[in-house]
Amino acid sequence: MKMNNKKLENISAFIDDELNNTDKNIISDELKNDINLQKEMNSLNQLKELVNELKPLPQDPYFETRLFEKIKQEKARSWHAFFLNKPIMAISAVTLILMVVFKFYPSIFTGFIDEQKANLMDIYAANLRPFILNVGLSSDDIFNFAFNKTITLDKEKNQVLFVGVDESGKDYFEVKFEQPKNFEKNVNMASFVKSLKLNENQKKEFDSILLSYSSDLASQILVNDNKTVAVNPNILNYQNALRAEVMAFASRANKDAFARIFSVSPDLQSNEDLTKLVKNIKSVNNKNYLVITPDTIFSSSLDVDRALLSAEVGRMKNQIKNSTRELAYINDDSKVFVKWERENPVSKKNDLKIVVSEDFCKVEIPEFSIPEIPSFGNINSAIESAMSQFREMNVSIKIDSLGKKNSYSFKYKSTEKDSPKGFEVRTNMPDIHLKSLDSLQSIFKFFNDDTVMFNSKELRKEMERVKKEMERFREEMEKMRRELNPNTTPTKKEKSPIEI
Amino acid sequence: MNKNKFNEDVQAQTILTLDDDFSLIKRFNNGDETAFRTLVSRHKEKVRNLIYLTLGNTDAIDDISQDVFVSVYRKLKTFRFESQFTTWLYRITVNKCRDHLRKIKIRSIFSPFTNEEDTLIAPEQLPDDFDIKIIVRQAIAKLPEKLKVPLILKDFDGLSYQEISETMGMEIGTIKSRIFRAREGLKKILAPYQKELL
Repeated sequence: MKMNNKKLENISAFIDDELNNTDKNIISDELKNDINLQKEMNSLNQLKELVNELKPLPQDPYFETRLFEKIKQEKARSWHAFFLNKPIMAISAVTLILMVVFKFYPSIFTGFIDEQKANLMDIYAANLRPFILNVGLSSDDIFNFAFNKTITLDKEKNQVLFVGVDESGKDYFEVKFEQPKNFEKNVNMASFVKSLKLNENQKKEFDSILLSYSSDLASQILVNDNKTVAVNPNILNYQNALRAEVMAFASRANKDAFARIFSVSPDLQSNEDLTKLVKNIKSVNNKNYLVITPDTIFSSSLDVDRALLSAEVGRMKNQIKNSTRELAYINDDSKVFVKWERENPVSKKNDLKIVVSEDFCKVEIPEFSIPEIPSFGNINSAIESAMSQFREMNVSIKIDSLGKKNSYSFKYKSTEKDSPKGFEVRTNMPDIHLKSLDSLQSIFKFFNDDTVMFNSKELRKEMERVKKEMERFREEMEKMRRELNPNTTPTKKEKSPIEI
Repeated sequence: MNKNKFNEDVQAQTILTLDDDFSLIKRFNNGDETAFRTLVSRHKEKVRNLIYLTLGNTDAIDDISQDVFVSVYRKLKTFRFESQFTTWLYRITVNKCRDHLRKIKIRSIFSPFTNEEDTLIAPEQLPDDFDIKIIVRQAIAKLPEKLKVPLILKDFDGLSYQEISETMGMEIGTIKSRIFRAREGLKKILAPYQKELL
């Protein structure tokens, strides 16, 4: 049977012309002699022809139209499926597209960020008001601002704004919480007036000069309930102008006292020039404020309604004047003194240098712009030098004879930051005849009963010696403290500030 | 359409364009969509008829043949030019038919259904103007898929054993055997109609 099947298979292949020559010859030979085989071949041939002659399907004229429509749908579906099934691919593709878009159209991104920044600024800059409406501003405060560079923002929290110059000579603002006792070392208005021996009229004039700046200063510092402090860099010019005016007044009020106080005489300008200069400074309407918040620092354009503010400050002064209370002024929240100009809200100056340490965060703004006032640079350095001289000479000494010849004690009080305060010094003085004031004047220069200026080199040397003794005393005390309490942890090594 | 005319058309296209299939594929791979249209136009009838004879009915011809060309469209970039395009095309077609038959088989388990087209009319019931070719086609449809596909590829499409073996991924000996068995099966099915076939 198998043999037959094999033979029949070969006949089937024979009619298909798929046999090799050998098999073909074998089959041909067998076919010649085998009638049954011939019948089988005929039968297979007939079937082959029947299949071959089958009618093809009628052509479909719309086949291609439908096919390409389907391909089109498949394409769309395949992309859809691709992204649906592989979210990571979708995310990557979206990221890539965004990268390309932001690369070639950065304005879209920056515009979005600017919008978000503007929204944030909306929160920080909301309800900004001149600080003066919250805390008031006395002539003492203005004097303090001019010469000690400090202005109180919140009396309850002892928050102050410090306007200073760092070691490299750069101007800076600092918002900090300072205990009032730290101000004791500062030059205050009372000592300044006393040193100049001003009469009542001069005191009033001095007061009036200081208070004439209150409205202007009010417009330079803005605060709100979000602990935001907006400072106009132009405040530095106001400070300088104020100092120049005060110095000019002082030299005018008491030339002798002024000369005694300021051995380095500032190169003051003429009254006309100074008036012109102050007028120039006050006429500058710089809208670009530096906004300091607990979270960030940015510059923004703020428009202060100066006319409204001036009227409000006047009203405040009257209310305080007619009241016995310290700050009788009632703050009217409905008045809008500051408008934030959202059209140009975001500073493009992003090159901030931030230094973070354990107890401070310092932000340097390279393009910190202070409106330029011509011919003011020279006078400022002279005033700075003169004020430094003033601080040195403000030493209170009480001469008290110990009953011994050439031996005296005095109490020393210095305004210098690092000087020891309120200690008693016993020293041997040069041979002085106490009954003769002239001999004393060769050593000290008296201004009044308890203020003197050192002229003696010997006394200066003596002071140096005392200072060294004090340092030794401190070291011994420290040593003793360690001996008494050996478990005291060593002083923590100071960490260097981190620069970002 | 006359079968001879159809074969002539197909042969003419084949003679003219056997090598051109490759160039069309290359053009398509280079982004020329019209080349694919030409390929479809050239081979669509062969694919449709193969499906028709393999399945034995016309219901799914359009769907399957379109599936075939969609697959070709997707996979053409992977074509390696190691065999003829038609061999590759038929392999895809056969696989699609197998998939379809598998689905039908699974479906029939749940809902037994007899296709009237598959039922041969008894010889005594044949009308006077009957077409014997319908009987032959129905007889082919009754063959198992593994036998009828090589038979159709050989006797209807005129492929060689070598081409059929490449298309179906089988040895030539197997193809030879299956074609013979298909013919034997067909002979048995058509035995009652010997008189009409003569």
